[in-house]
This record gives sequence, structure tokens and C-alpha cells, in this order.
Amino acid sequence: MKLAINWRHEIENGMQYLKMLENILEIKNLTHIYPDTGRGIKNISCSLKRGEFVIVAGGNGSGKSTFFRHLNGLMKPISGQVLLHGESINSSASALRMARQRVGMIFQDADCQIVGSTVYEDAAFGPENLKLPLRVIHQRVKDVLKRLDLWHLRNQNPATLSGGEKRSLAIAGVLAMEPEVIVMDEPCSNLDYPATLNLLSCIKELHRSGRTLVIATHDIEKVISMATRMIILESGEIRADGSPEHLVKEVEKFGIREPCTSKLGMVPAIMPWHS
Amino acid sequence: MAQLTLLTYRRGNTPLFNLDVRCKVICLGMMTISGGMAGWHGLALLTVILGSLFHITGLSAGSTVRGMVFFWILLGIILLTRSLTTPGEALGELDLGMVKITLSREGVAQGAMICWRFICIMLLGILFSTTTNPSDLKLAVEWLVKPVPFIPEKRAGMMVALFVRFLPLILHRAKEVSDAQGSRCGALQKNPVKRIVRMGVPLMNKIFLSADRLADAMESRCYTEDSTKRDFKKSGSEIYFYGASSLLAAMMILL
Repeated sequence: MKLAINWRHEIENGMQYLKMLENILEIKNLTHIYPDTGRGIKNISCSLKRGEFVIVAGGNGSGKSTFFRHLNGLMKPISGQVLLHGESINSSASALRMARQRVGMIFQDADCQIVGSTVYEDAAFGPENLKLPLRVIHQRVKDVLKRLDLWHLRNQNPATLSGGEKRSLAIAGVLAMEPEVIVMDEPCSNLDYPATLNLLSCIKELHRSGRTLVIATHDIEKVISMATRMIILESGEIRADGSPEHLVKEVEKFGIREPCTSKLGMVPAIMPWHS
Repeated sequence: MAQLTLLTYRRGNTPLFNLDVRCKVICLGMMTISGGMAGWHGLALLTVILGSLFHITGLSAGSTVRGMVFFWILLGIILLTRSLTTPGEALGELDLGMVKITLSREGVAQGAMICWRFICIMLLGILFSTTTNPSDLKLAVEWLVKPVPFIPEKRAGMMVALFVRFLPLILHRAKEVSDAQGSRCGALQKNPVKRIVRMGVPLMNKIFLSADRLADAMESRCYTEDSTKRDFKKSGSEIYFYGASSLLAAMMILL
């Protein structure tokens, strides 16, 4: 009997491990060149596993935002494809819709991402588009707003929120759709110190809850201690892909600032931005 | 942080805020039509009612007056044009040699009445938009446009709701452009056409860029016109508002 329970436990652990290794997103030879500038992304291939925390680092114009816009089908590639759970996101309208639900995107400019006239309505925008019943929408919105400490602001006009609160609302709007992957484009830009700390703790919490996170940034110092993987883009191509510990000393070659702890030779080279 | 405009919805808990938006639209329609037909006494009655509603709603008269600067200029032009172009008993004359300009008593009276009507209608609009949540406004537009053929009512509703939502942002962007130009001595440019072009081009650029980003954000969140439909909220006091509005409209026309 005891042996059977042990076996079962081992099998469950193994299944969980296999699930962790499962590729959620696979990007195959993705290319998108803007005809007017000749810039864009070239032949990008990589895959994202469940529970990973990936930093996509690169200087301005390296192709980070263009790459991200392909992950939920906002842009169509010239060649190559993005597979979500093995299915091309551009294969059908339902696949595209699924990709937009499963891959939540948080843009750099929160002002342009907030659609609702109140905090509550903005968080409800995504679930309403998924045609969920009103009862379920209310429950989801209540949960995410409470989780991000926005519930007391639920009736407020988003125009009156601070920069940090707007960024939190943008995250809440995406979380209410219950995505598997959360993609953030320069999440810490234009935020003051307390707002950045709040955002970082929110990101940490999201990762702990098992979500796959992909964050684009040129300032890796704030998030590198949480990341499990770093992809470096330059001129639209992947120049390096590996663990942050291995790549941290090389980032300055690609126009990315090396974190202070690493630069000063501290051990370990990667430490939390704020402890 | 973008500033709230005169037309931005403010949350409140008075009967006007909680009223079914369809009732508000019908009452607003009745008041606007009767206000357009009312004489001096009718307009005085409407002004008293509006003043009371502004007071109950908690809207500041001072900030309302200050927020309508361009409207006052427009009214000034209307009053002046009416006073100078309507024939009647002369109140004063200005001889410019080739042309003689006469200010008539009838013209001033007509101009003042038209301006008063415009002010009342404008105040009705402000009262409606500050007490109506844009998502209710969206429902109201859908409800109003639905019987009209060839107009996609859900799209029209969304457009109106987005316009109201983004008005503070557009004004904020306009201020940014204006401040940026002011800090580089833009005020020294006296040619009004050049000033408009210098202000308009970057502002339109910013607005279109924001609209593009908004469209992307909406697409990302699976935007569809066929989303979960919200219900109209009723307060239970609609019947009293219908009655009071009908009575007021009749009195305004008859007085």
C-alpha cells in the first residue's frame, strides 16, 4: 500500500515536472522587416517554457517591441510562425483569439492601454470581450483589483490615477483574462522609486503564482535577480540566450548596462535591486 | 496625471447620478427642445431649475464658468452679430465714414435670448455628461442608434465612450505640446496660421499615435462588438423625472 502511494507521488511529481518543461510558446524563424527603415526582427527562433521568467534585453531599436507584438498576433510575420501549445496563432481566427487570451500583453504606455471609464470597468473590459457571464466577470475583477490593491479605487476615473496605479491597472486588465504568459514591454519606465518597488513585488508574485513572464527592458538591473533566462536582441537578431548568471558580464557589448553588483565585482554578481 | 474636463464624469450618489440613462436622454431631449422654444420667463424658470440641479449635484458654478471660456467668446460673437445686423430702434451708432454701424434694441434682445438658450442647453449637456458614466452613455447611444438603419450601433456607442474617456488625455497632450512650444518662445510667433500649424501638426501626430496604441491594446484584450452586454441600471425614481420634465417643458413653452 505504502509502495503504491510512493509510486503515485513520484508519478505526480514527474507529471508536474514534464508540465514545467512543456513549451507554451514556440517561435520559429520569425522575420518582420519594416520596408521604410529596413529594421525589424530577423530569423528569431526560441521557445518559452511554463513558469519561465525571461528578460528580453536590448538597446533602443533592437526589435524588442516588434518581437513582442508577434507573440499574441498583433503583427503578422513576413516569414516564420509563433506556435501556442503547438498550434500556429495565425492559423485561424479562433487560434488568434486564444493567443490573445493566453498571452496577455502590457504595453509601455499605460495611458493608451486603459479603455474603461472607471478602474472597475477597465479591468472588466477583457472578460467582457471573452463573453463571460456577468457574475464571473465581477468575481474576476474583484479578485484582481484586490490582489493589486486597487479595489478601493474601483469607481475612480483612470485619468486621475498616478503612473504606478495606472501600470497596476494595466496589469489588472490583463490578469482578469487569466493568461498563461504575461508579456511586459519596459514595465518600469517612467515610474518613481515606490511605484517601481510595488511593480517589482507584483511581478515577483505573478512569477511565484506559476505564470510565465516575458519582460522587455534595456535596464536589466531591476529584474535580473528574478529572471531564469535572458535573451539579448541586437539589430533584430538574437545574439545570446542563456541564464542571467552566464550572460551578465557580456551585456555591455550589446549596449545594455551591466548591473552595479556585477560591475563592482560583488559576490554573487546578481542581487535583488532592492532588499 | 491628466486633468478632468468640464464634461468628465464624476462619481456621485444623488438621484441624477443613479437615474436610468434612457430616462436622462429623454428628459434631456425634452428640456433641450422646450429650452429652444422658450421665452424670457421660460428660460428664467429653466435657469432656476438648472441652478438647483447643479447645486444638488455638487458641481461648482465658478469652475463651470471658467471652463467655458471659448463658449463665452462664441456667445459674445453671436450677441454682437445679432445686435448689429437686426434692424430696429437704434441704441447707438458708429460712423466709419463709408459704413455706418447701428446697434439695435431688438438685435440686443434677440441676441441675448439666443445666448441664454445656448447657455441653458450647454448647462444641460454638462449636467448630463458629468452625471452619466461613459459606459452607460455607450448603452444609451446603442439604444438610440439601434432603430436607425445602416449605422452599427455598438461601434457608434464604443466611439462615443472612447471619445469621452480620452478627452482628458487629448487635452493633456495639447497642453504638453503648447508648453513645449512656449518653452522655446513659441508665443513670439504672431502669425495665427503658423501658430495653428505648429500646434496642430505635433498634436495630431500624438493623437494618431495614441489611437494606434489604443487599437493595439484593445485588440490584445480580444475586443469584440459582441461582448457581454450590461443591463440598464434603474433607480426607481424615473417616473417622477418623466413627470417633472413633461410639466417643466410644458410650462417653459407656455410661459
